[in-house]
Parts: sequence; C-alpha cells; structure tokens
Amino acid sequence: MVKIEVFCGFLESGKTTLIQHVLEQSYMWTYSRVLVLQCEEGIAELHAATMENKNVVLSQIEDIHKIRPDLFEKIEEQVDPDLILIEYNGTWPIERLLTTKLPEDYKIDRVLFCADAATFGLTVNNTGSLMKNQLCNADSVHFNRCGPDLRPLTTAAAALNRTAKLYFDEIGTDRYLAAVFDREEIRKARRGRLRNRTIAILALAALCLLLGGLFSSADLFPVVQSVNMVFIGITMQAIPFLLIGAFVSSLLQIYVPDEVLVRFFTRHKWLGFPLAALLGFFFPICDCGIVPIASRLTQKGVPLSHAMVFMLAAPAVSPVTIVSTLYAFPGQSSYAVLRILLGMLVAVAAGGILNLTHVKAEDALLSGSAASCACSVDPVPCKSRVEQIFVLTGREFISMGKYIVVGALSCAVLQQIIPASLFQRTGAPVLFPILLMLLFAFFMSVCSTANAFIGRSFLNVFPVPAVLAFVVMGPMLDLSNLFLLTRTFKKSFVVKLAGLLVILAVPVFLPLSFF
Amino acid sequence: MNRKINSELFLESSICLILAGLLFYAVLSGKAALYVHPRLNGFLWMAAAVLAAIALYMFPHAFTPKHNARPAKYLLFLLPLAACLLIPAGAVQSKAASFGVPAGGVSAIGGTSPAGGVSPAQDRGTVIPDSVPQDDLGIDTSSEAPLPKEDANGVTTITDEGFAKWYQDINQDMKRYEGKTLKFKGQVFRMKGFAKNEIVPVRYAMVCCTADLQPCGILSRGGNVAKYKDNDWVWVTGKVKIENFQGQTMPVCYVTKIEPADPAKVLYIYFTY
Repeated sequence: MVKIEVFCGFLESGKTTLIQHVLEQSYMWTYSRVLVLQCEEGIAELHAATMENKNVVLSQIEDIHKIRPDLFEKIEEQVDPDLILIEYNGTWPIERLLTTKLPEDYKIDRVLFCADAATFGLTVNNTGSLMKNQLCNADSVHFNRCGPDLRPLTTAAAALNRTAKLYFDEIGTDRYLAAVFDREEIRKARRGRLRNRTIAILALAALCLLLGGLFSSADLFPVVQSVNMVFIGITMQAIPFLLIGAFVSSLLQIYVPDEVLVRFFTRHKWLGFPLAALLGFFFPICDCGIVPIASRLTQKGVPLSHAMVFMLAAPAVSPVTIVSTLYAFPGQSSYAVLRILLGMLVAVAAGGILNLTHVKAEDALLSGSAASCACSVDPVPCKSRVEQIFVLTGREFISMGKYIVVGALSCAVLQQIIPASLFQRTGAPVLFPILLMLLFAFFMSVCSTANAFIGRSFLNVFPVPAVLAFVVMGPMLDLSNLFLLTRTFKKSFVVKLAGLLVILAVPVFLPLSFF
Repeated sequence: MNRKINSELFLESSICLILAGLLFYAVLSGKAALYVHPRLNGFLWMAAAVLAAIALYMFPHAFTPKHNARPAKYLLFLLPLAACLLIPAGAVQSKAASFGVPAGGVSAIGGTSPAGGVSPAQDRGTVIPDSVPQDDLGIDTSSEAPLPKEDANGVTTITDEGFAKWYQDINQDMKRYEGKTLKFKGQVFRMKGFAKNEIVPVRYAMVCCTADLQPCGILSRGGNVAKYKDNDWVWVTGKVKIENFQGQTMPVCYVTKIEPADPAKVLYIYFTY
C-alpha cells in the first residue's frame, strides 16, 4: 500500500515548512523511498541536499493538467516510492486530485490543510470556492503564527469543516504527524481500531440477541410494537413540518440578508420582544418546524433572546393551535385567549431574562454554527437558486432528522415505561399538579395542535392552572424539540433554557389557582 | 475504498429518496392512517414530493468527491427504516394508552361522563365529532352516521362509523341510554383497579398521531369477559345502568353476550380537529 499524503492551503501558508518538518523526523527513516511532489514553488524551498535521508526524491509539476492517471503510473514505474507527499497548489481545485484514478494499491490517506492564522479568515472568504473546497476536504488543519485568541479560527474553520482536527501549535501538530507517518504508531492505532471494532460487533450481536429475545417473548412483543407504533407516528407526523421548517430556513439563508433580519428585530428598543412573539402567527406550522427557523435566525445574528421569544411564543400564537384550542374547549374561548396571553408572557419573560443575564449567542451556539458562518452544513456549489434551496433544505432536513429520530424514540420508550399510576389522581397541594403536568408535557412531546385535546382530558383530574400549564408549556418543553435545539445550541444552554422555563412556569401559573 | 463519490451526499439523497418512497407507499396503501391522522395525508403527499425533488437535485452533487466523508453518522436512519419495515403495525398497548391519558384514562372512559352527564352545561371533556367529510380515503366521518336507533328486538347497535358520535352522545346525556340494551364493538381495555369481570371495550381516538391515542368506551361488567385478552376485538351486548364507579358517575354496561369480532375497517376514531 502506497499512501499519498496531501498538503494543501494557500500560498505561504506553511506547507513547505510542514513537509520539511516531516522529512526531518526520525521515523521517516523507516520508509525506503519517499517522493515529494511539489505543485508550486514554496517561499521556503525544500533543501533536499541538507537532508540526511537520501531516500527522499523531489519532483515538481507546474500544470494542473499533468495530474492524470498516467502521472501516477509513471511514478510507480520510475520511482516506486512507498510514501508520496504532495504539496498541492492552493489555486488548483482539490477535486482534480481526488477524482484522478490511482494505481491499484495507491491511496490518498490524509489531506492536511495549512493556514496562516493571521490571514486565515480573509483568505477563506475571499478566494471563493477553491480554498473552501480544500478546507472542506481536510482531515486536519494546521495553523501557523497563532495569536492568543483562537476562537475566531475555530469558528471559521468549523463553519466549513466540522470533522477536521484543528492544531494551533507544534506539539499538537507533531503528535498528529506521528500518527500519520510513524509506522509504529500506525500499527498501534490499527490494533486499537481492531479491538474497538470487535467490541462494537460483539455489542451489536448482543443487542440483536436481546432484541430477538424481546421479540420471541410473547409478553414483550406488544411493548416493542407499541413503542414502534408511537415512534413511527411521531416521526411521520414530524416529517412534513420539519421539511417546511427547513425550507423556510433555507429561504431565509439564501434570500434574506443578515442585516435586514437583525434590523427587523432590534429597530425598536421595546417593541422587539412583542414583535418576535407575534411573528409566530405568520408561521402556521407545527412547533418542530419553528425550531430550525429560530436556529437560523440566531445564526444570522438576530439577538439570541429575540430568536428564543419567537420560538417559544410561536406555538401559542400560531393560528393552527388557536383553532385547535377553540375546538378542544368548546364554548370556552377563554382557554384559547389565556393560552395566547400566557404563552406570550412566558416567552417574553424568558427572553427578558436571557437578555438581562447577558447570555450571548456566541456562548450558546455550538462552535460550528456561530453567527459568522455562512451555513451550518458543508456548502455545496450549485448552479441555480432553486437547486440551492432544494439541496440546502435537504441537508438541513437530514441533519435535523437525526434529532427527531432520537427524540421520537425516547418519547415512545418513555411513554411505555413510565407507570400510569404516577399521574393518577392526587390530592396534593396546587403546586404539585402543575409540576406533574409539566413533567408529563416534557415526556409526551405531542404536537402543539394535539396538546390542547390531551390537556382537556385532564380537566376532571387536575385543577385548571395545571391543565393550562400543560397546554401552554407543553410545546416549549417538548423533549424532541429540545433535542432538535442541541443541533445548533450547546447542551448547557438548552438545559438552562428548559430549567428557566420550568422556573418561570411556577410564578405564572400558581397565582391562577387563587382565582 | 472508493473515493470517487461523496458518500455523505450520496447517502443523504438516498435517504430522501427512500423516505419519499415510503411516504408515497404509506399514503397510497392507507397504512399512513395507522400512524397519523388522515388530515395529514396532504402534508405527507407534499413531503414525499419535496423529498423526491431534493433527492434528484442532490444526487448529481454526490459525484463531486469528498475526501473526509463520514458516512457512519447516517446509520441512525436505519432505525426508523427498520422500524417501518421489520415490525408490523399493530395495536398500541393499552398500558401506553392509559398513560397517554393518565388518570385522563379514567376521564376518557368515565371521567368525561360525570361532567357531561350530571350537568351537560358544564361541558368539559366532550368533543364534537368531525364535521369535515374525509371523503375519498374511506375514513367514515362520525357526522355522516346518524345516532343509532333501536331495532325490533330492542337492541341498539352501534356501527363502527357511528361510534364516535354515539360516544359523545352518551357522555353528554347518559340518561337517554339508561336501561337500554346496546350492542357495540371495541378492543378490550383494562386498567389497574378493575375487577376480573370488568373491561372497557374501547375504540382509540386519534388527534394527531399514535402518540396521543385515547381509549374511548364505557365500562362493561359481565360473566365471561375475563377470557378475552387486552386489545382483542369484541362485540358486546348488554344493558346500561348508571352507577358510581371509583367515585364517578358513569354508564355501565351489564354484559349479556360477548363474542369475538373483526377489527373495524378504520382502526381509530376521529373527533373534531
């Protein structure tokens, strides 16, 4: 097996220096012949003569059209190396190399991206898709000349490539290089991988046996089937609304400039929150569709508190839920009115607290999805706008789909294993039913439209405030929605938000019980 | 390993395509109705079409290679796929349903009735049957079926289609049915605290999807109900008395005859949305 290691990055980004550094390592002696293929002349030229290792062969190509299958055939024939290092030209599309047919046992092993910390942000954004594509394909990014503040670098890199390992100093880079080139390390890593894989396969087999056992046992099959029915039900119902959400989010991404959105929310000092709360009226979709829109708003720079107010209030003011609440409590429109008002109250209060405690979007967002980033998924170059919208919608949908799968499954399982007796009639004080209903809402994760009907069936058992708490807070505290939020936001923020909502619910709904 | 394609995009577009296919199949075969309310069918059509379009638009991009693709993260999507394909649709277990309407489980069976029955003005739990015809999908709407009438033998038979309307009616005015002989069909449902000879033959009411199924039916008491397992479909014939059960006034059916039944053509009942 001949490994090809590709070093890419812009001119003067430190590729040559890094290759020189690799060649000077002692473990390079274990290779019998190393070919260094330079696609551009670096500022720091490789001084092959000074290298003790006589097995290093240098070669240069100046034209991208030379990267052809016969180039590697010739290399195999004439040089027959056991390792190839390519210093790839920063202005050549990386796809050219990736699509070139290689000889049988040749393989592109790693793509290392070198970057000058001082100019990284500028270069990536101003060189079009060339640099972005190189970065997208990188397995690791090596920054040179780093300043003390690494966060902008992390953010900018993660925006384009979430999986690449980032290195800011020589120690980290050295460790990475050893893992790539040192044969001893490679062997060790392979043994580790093999062990992990064996363990994984064994675990999977055990799981299959366990599931098989569940299936064959007559007692448990109905449970599995019920979980399955609920799981598919929630998932199936979420798909259309998730798609709408992803679609709106893509439209926002492509057509609405960031400044317009930000200005819309922040123009008036005091009107911002109520405006955000009422905005949900124009998105008559299920709450799972609102989450991606709110995430996108935050990513585009809308203040976190405003985006959250929008997200939390949307289920309460959406025309669909208003109608369903009216139906669920026939002849008692006060429930619908209360739902709207209390929903907005809780949302605005939560937003206000987020604002007062100075929770910043940068602290809440995952590093890969901060405001500065162009989009949350790897960019795909598209010919037309329509194509771009569809592709972006699809990628957003898929990446959220994972969270819906996990959320729906946990709801389905929880519904089966939490004993019904927990929610039986209790003669407890007023606070207790409210908390109980909140807990129940959390586990149920029913749609904001269905939630009024479920709430109604509790009226005989629990006092009105508790039922209202369930109806109003249900969509806000929904387990699968919270899962969905963790796609863009840090887990710590999502947990804090949920805690804040529970704490807010008590002073809002408790006084109602004294009327 | 083949690096000539972007396995991530390839898988993403395949997932969209498979999902679109599954949704098309689910709606066309009517299986979607087992999981979600038929009113969502339009949405499901739209979702299937959009997903198919996404798959088509995305597919060509899969041929721009990506070096560091991590296709393993899409394994998670095998889960819903396996769930759809491997495990056949079946009943949602009554235990789950009673959780779905915790204590409200009581309310669905009897809880609504005291409120509605004792003082109809205090209309708490009753819902109005669907007034929007659900036409071509073979979903019989309760509004089209008139309230059941007594036949020559003095038996009032409740049809599958008329169940929702009848259930709403008996909850609003249980006195109307006192002393009458009813014949109705439902799935056996039991709760903690039921005696051996007590079951509720229920129809499950769906609001949005299977996560919110609620059992609807009246308590039935009688000799040989014990031999039927949970979720079995039964025809129950019996006389209605109004009684107090676990602190709630509700109609109770004294079973004179119980026999196995075929499942209703439409698995769930639907109230107004």
